[in-house]
Parts: sequence; structure tokens; C-alpha cells
Amino acid sequence: MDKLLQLIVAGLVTGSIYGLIATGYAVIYTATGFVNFALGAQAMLGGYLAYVYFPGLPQSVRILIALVVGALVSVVSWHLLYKWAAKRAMLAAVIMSFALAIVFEEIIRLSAGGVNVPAPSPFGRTVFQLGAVSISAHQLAVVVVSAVLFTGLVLVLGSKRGAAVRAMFSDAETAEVLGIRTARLTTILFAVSGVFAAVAGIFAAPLLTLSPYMGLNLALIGFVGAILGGLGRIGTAIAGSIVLGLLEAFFAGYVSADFRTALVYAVFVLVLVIRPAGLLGRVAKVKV
Amino acid sequence: MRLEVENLSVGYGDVSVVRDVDLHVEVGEAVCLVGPNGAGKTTTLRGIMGLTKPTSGAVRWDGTDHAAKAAWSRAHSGIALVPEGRHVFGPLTVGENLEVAVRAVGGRRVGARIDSAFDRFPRLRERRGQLGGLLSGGEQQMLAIARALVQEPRLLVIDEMSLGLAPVIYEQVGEAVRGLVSDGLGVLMVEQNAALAMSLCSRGYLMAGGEILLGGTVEEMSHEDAVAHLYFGAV
Repeated sequence: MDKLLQLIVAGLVTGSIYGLIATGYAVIYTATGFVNFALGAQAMLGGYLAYVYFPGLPQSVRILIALVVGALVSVVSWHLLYKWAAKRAMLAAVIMSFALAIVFEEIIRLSAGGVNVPAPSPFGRTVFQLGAVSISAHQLAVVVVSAVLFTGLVLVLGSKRGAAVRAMFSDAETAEVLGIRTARLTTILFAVSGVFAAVAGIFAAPLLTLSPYMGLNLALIGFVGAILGGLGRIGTAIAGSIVLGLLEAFFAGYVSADFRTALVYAVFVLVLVIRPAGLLGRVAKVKV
Repeated sequence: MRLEVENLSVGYGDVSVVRDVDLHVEVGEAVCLVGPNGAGKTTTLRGIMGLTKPTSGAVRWDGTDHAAKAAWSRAHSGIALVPEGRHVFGPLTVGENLEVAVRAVGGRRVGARIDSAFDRFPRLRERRGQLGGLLSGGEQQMLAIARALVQEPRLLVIDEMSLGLAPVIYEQVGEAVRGLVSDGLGVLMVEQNAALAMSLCSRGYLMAGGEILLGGTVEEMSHEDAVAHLYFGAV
């Protein structure tokens, strides 16, 4: 029982981090049909900005820099690169995002080295003991902050002002012709995806140790989480990621810790074969 | 205020589908653009609304040329569209569909505008909380029109209203349009069903093969051989 609770904590923590990446995929996909595989590399970049670069600055300022750069990288890469490729062929834009991820990886490797860098949690080393279950301040922060971000996003989208975004998700052309500035909303959503990815990187680094190569795994696992829940809806993409984090933790705890990554991709293949729209997703209804 | 379309050409890639279209609509009149399937009516309308960038020509409204502007700018300056196939926002409720339209153009008195739309279409008031995607075809058409009207436009552009609409509902909607025109609204109606369109409008243009063949009052047009030929002639 204690082990189960401990695994649930671990699963919620990793699931929340996957969910932050998955949210980025989902908001961009529903707005534009584009899948941004550079989000993992952007998370990695966020980690380096928060823990490695600018060692003289206070931690809070470094985190702020990571968040702002995260938003800028997302927005600029959309307007400078992906948008133009997507107009001709969406697949070209998706492949381009992989390429950009490699570019980020190389830039970081050349500037900060290819070795793992330890990243001390900004929340300190405190560990809380709840009965037999121990939870670190960092783990607690991951779950709480992610929950706040997820809830905030869902509430904003569900609000009266958020209805414009939902209208755009459902029919972008009609939204535009009604006077909704869809290009501007899309820019905002890209910024949101960048900030969420940076947060994911800041949270993941102390758990995984920083390396230039951590981005690819985050990008792919976040994508599996989003697909598991359904990429077309934000709430289900988040839920899918948390389920994936829990599955991974249970598998690591009860079956084999060595094969936990293999499990993630096995889930991916199964979902694509059995329910491509996601376990929780619905296939988009065709309007007559 | 008037909409003035001059030498408008619209195409996709290198192919121009619509060439040198000239037409105008004054506020307070209803004008129809009729023509057989494939005449280029929808492409013309996409060009006017900015959904497809015109290759040349001007779309002047209230003195400003909108041809090169983003589509959303038209709604903000008083042109509202009722799109073909209705295109209500399925995952939004009836109320949200209307609210989002008012807020999109920065409109005030959101509640009052929606109330007056409900007065016009009482059926929508009953369905206020229902999702747009779950309405019947006729209700969706009412919602699409109400959604345009809550923006309080000076010009209403209606694309293929009669498609898939029961005659009873069409009559109801047509009555609403007549009332709006006499209140000073301009209406541009794109219709495949010429007889229905001409019963609602005072002037019209006939389009075929990507060009305007003729224009005039509905009276004049109904005596033109070209209209009869295109609609009732050689099949």
C-alpha cells in the first residue's frame, strides 16, 4: 500500500511534466493543425537558462528569463519558419520542428558542453513525510504549479473571453470572418506553449539532471501522453499525460525500471493501432 | 455608405476563377448575385470577404479599400457574413455563439443585443444553452443569421441561404431580411436559387463563367433572355 502511494506520487510528478509539454502540443494542434516537436528542446533550453547560464543572477530572475525566452522562441519560430512551411505542407513544418530541436541541442552542447549538469531544485531539499510516503518540496511544487497552470488554462478557455479561442478551434475561417483576430490568438497560444515547455524543463531538470539530449525524450513522451488522451482537446491531452506518468511509475515499480521507456513507446504503438483519436478523445464530428 | 467592388479578380495559384467583377451595394437595399453552380459566386464572395486574397481590384467599403486587408477587418468596419453551410460553432452553446460574435467586433451591450436577436428568433431563446452542433438545420441557419445581426452590421452578406433550408423557414428568414433592409441595412445575397433571391432583392447581378454578365433591377433581369437561358434553357 505504501509502495503504491509512493508510486502514485512519482507518477503524478512525471505525468504533470509530460502534461505541460502535451498542453503545448494540444493548444497548437487545435489552433493550427501543426505539431511542434521542438517543444522538448525548448524545455531543455528552459532548464539551461534557469540553472546553467547567468550564474550570477538570482534564481527567480533566471527562471523569469527562461519563461520569457520560452515564449519568444515559440512565437518567433512560428512566424519565421513553421507558418510558411505549413501553408504548403504541414508535414514539412513538422519535420522542420525536429530540425530546429537538433539545432537547439547543438547550440547548447557547444556552449555548455555535452555532459550532464546537476540542477539543484529552486524549492530546496526539504522532504515531507506523510505517513510512510515521502514527497520532496520539488515534487510538491511540480504537482501544485502544474495543477494551477492546467486549471488556469482550462478556466480561461472555458470563460466568456475564451469562447473566441474555442470558436477558432472549431472553425478558424468563420472565426476570422466574424472579426476574431485568429493570427493574434495563435501567437498567444504559441507563447503559452513555450512558457509551459519552459516550466516543464525547469521542473524536469532537477529530477533528470540536465543534458542537451533530454529534449528529445520529453518531446516524444509528451507527445505520447497527448496522443493517449487525444491531441484535439486540451483537457484530455493533459489527462492522458498524467495517466501515462502513472502507468510508467507503476511499471517501473512493479515490473521493471529498466524498461519503463520501452513501455511508453509500447503504449504509443497500441494507442495508434487501437484508438488513433486517443482513449479519451472523440473523433471530430463532421458538420453537415 | 456603400460597398464598391471594382475590377475584382480572384484565383487560386495562377488560375483566376473570377475576372474583373464590378458591383456595388448601397445601405438600405438588397442586392443579389445569382448564377448557376460553378459561376464563381462563392469565389467572388471569398474575395470580397478577404478569405481568398484577390489578385487584383478593389473592395471599397465606406471609402476604405479592404482588398489587401486581413479578413477580420471587415467585421470590425460593419460587414457581417452569413456563410454557406451556416458554420455555427458546434462546441459552443447558442448563447456563446452570439456572445463571441458581439465581443469579436468589440461590441457593447452584449446582453441587450443577444436579447433582441432572441426576440427576432424566439426559437433560439429556447435553445440558448444548447450546443450549436446539436441544433436542427433550420435552427442553425437562424443562429448563423442572428450571429451576424448581433454584430449590428451596416452590410449583411448572405451566402447560399436557400441551400438545404425548408421553404417555411426560408420564408421566415426572408421576412426578417426584408424588415432589416427597410431599417437601413444593406444586403448582398449570393444565391443559386435565382427566383427566391429575386423575390427578396431590388437589384441583381447575373454571373456565369467567372464574369458578371449583366446587372440591373430585378424587374429588368426577369425579362432578360440570359437569365431564362441560364436557368431554364439548354441543359
